[in-house]
Amino acid sequence: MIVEFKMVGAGLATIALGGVGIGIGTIFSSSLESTSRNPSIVKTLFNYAILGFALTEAIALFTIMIVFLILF
Amino acid sequence: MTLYSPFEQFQVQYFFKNDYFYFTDTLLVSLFILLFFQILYLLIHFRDSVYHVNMVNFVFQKIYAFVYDSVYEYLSNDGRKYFPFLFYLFVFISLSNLIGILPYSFTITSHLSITFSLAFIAWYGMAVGVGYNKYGLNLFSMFFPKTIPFRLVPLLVFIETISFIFRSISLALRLFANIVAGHILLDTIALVVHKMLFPSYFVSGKSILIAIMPIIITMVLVLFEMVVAVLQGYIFMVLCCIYLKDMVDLH
Repeated sequence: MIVEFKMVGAGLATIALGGVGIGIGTIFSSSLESTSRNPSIVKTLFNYAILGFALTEAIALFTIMIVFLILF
Repeated sequence: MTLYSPFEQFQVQYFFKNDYFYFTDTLLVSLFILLFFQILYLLIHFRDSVYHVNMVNFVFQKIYAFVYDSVYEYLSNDGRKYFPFLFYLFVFISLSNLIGILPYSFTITSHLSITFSLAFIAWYGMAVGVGYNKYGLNLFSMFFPKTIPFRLVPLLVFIETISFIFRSISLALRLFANIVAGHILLDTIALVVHKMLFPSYFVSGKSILIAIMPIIITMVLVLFEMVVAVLQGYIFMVLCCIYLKDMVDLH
């Protein structure tokens, strides 16, 4: 019984990835928007976008850590 | 050799052991990186003239300029003297991640012991070595925001302290989780390819045709992992820069 519910819990924990998807989408959409407003600072903006992307992706990976903690 | 689970790649194995230490593959990869640096410095030293540089020299110059630009963008004049540490941090983390992508290799950054040691060295060195040496006990004023009503102060000081301590843990956990998740993803898809290509009972042209798709996905993922490997080194360095800026300038 507990094994099956562990599986269910691990599956439910991945719902958090939806928020991370929204976050990454927001980062790149706003980066694109600001680049089209001011194309001369594209290099700086891209650096910040990559930084934000990596930080947001790390949150997604914390979810994976939780999933592994539940599963094993 | 049979494959059991995607977690098998993270097992630390030893080559030989002594009464005093185990010679593990973590140690081997670390020694390899150290040796690589020594050879790199030797190769940089040898050059024909100012205008004719060899390839190693050129690539090293590009990496150096990249890190130099990022560090000098974030730090003020007082923090810039810590550039060598940040440069070595970037190259060490990127290199150990990239070595881990090689087949049959071992990723040293996929272990919390390594990443947490790195992050704790950086964090402790910044808090005590830089901040406390420079400001003494005035360092604690960074936990005290000045332009807020007095009633909120205890709560905010508590939150600031927690976030300050959590910096070291989040640095370590970010690198660790990124590398582990990427490697598990790669290994899972490689296992799918392996099971499609070599079922125990039949091999046909159809199964090979179906298995081409995961192979292409694996190639794309390996490229993505290489980007992530360098990116994680960059993130680690940039976050260290930001924390160092806090310590040097004290808000």
